[in-house]
Amino acid sequence: MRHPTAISVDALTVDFSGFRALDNLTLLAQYGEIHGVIGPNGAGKTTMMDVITGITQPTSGKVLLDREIDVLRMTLPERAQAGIGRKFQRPSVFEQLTVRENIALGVRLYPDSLIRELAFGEVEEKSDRVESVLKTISLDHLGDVMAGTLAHGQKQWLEIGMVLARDPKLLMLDEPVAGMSDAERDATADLLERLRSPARCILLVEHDMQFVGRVSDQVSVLHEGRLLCAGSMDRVTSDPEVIRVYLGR
Amino acid sequence: MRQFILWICGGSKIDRRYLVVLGLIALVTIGLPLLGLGSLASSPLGLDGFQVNMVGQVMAFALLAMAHDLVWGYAGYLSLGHGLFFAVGGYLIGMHMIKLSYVGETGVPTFLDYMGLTEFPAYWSGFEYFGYAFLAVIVLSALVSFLIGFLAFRSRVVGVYFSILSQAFVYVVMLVMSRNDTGFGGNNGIADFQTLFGFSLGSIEFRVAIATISALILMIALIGLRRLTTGPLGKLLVGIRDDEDRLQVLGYETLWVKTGIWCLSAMLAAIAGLLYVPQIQVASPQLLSPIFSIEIAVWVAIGGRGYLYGAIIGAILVNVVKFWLTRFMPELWPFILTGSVLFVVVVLRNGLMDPGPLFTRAKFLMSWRAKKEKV
Repeated sequence: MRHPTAISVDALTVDFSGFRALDNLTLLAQYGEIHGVIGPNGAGKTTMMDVITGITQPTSGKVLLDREIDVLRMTLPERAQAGIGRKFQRPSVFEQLTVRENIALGVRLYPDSLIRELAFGEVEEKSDRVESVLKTISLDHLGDVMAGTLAHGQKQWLEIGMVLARDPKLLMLDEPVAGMSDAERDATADLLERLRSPARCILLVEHDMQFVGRVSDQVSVLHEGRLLCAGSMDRVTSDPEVIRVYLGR
Repeated sequence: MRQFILWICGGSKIDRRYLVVLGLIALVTIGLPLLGLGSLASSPLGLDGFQVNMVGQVMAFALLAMAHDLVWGYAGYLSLGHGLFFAVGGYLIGMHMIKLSYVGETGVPTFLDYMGLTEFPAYWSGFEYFGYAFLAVIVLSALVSFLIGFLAFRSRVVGVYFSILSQAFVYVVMLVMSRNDTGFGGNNGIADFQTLFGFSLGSIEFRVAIATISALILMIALIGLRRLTTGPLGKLLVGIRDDEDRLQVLGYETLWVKTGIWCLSAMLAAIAGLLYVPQIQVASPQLLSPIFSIEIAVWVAIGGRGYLYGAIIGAILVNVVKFWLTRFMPELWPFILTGSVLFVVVVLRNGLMDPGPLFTRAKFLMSWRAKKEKV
């Protein structure tokens, strides 16, 4: 069954003063799926996410959310408000705040939440949402711990939780299992399964091929800023071009 | 009772150090009228006009330092130009006091006379009313800070560039105000103030009153800012300080949060200036000197950033020592100030409120020695 397109990247090019990080990249990802993005170092995976979140400005090309919303014309916060969420490669949680406070930063129930909270104090629905997110990422027993004292894997989950708090349509995860133990990998795979929903598309950039193969429905292979091949994991790994440039076997 | 203390602390925990500092300020607020006026004033415990004045000035400086800490300690932007807002409050209250002494009289102060004017220019009108002057202090400081803050933050000026920019602004304004034809007395500034609220500025009653009001406003501002920074806005500010991109990708338009906090800080600094100038009875370009603005940052650095009460402690400590030393050993003061800055930078990088680096440093040295012995 085909689901509606969540994000379409069309002919995207990024030039970093002479170096072409993305070269006419085209990529489609559907709602309801976990879409793996793999490729050698420097293939442009993180650059693509930077462009979608607004950290990097593209030289040319188009990015559409829901086939109609022109993402590139929006500011960073507007993109987040439109439903684009991202976990960075380096876990970037706020170490001076507790786990619960970190997630609360991610929750914004209304556009004027901050003004409401300053005037009337914390809203009931907000703490409910924070607790449910804590359960989802299985950190509910660590709610009052300073985020800086968490283990590496727990920080990764916490950051996913912060992004999740807003219930994004498009969830981009940049290397969520890097540096994790096998047990933590299993837990992350379970978490991704729980996050899968017909109203959400998960873009997963990951080096660990085994992990990508285990959770993704679709895989896109990037090479030198271009889309090399897309399809199921089996199809992609048997593609001769992919084997030549990436798998190297 | 516990509920009330928690309300004062903001958040869910009781912070002893904060309460101690708050208690000290409350003590000053009550103690000033008791020891400065009344029967105790002539006892050995009593304070004379000079001492009352000193306490009052230090209270105004503490308010200024706290305003600075809000921007530096919480949002992470080091301002080296907070003297600008302090001076806005100082000059405008000076204008009020001058205009007040010319009500019902003809003629103008000498600095206007020098410019060939026989009556006050149009922008002086209304300044005989305190309400108008106070409003002008708030509006002008908000306006100036909004212009600087909005432009700087929108262009993503950060770190040391922001510090230099803020320093440049205060320097430019100092140059403008130092000119005689700007209409504010040039290098000498405006002085010859007579009364405020009907009190003569030199009277002990006025000195006690303004010092007490300064302490009271400091106390209210401390409670207010404490509650603000322990709430959701405080979390957001810490987020801006530690990882601003992360917050933007989470959907926060940090530009408005930063500009808002910057303007709030500027308005508090202007109120501090409004309290300060009637006590030293002169508003001159010295308030705008870059050196003074750097000193404000030094108070906060010594006291400790990001606690609010740390800035207060820093301002009180440095200024009390300064008042005392410049009276008895003025030639030593620059060395002591420089020495304490170096001490904070090298040994206590988070200021006096966080002795942690002393211990981690000792630990680091020990582990380093142990490693060396192994090799």
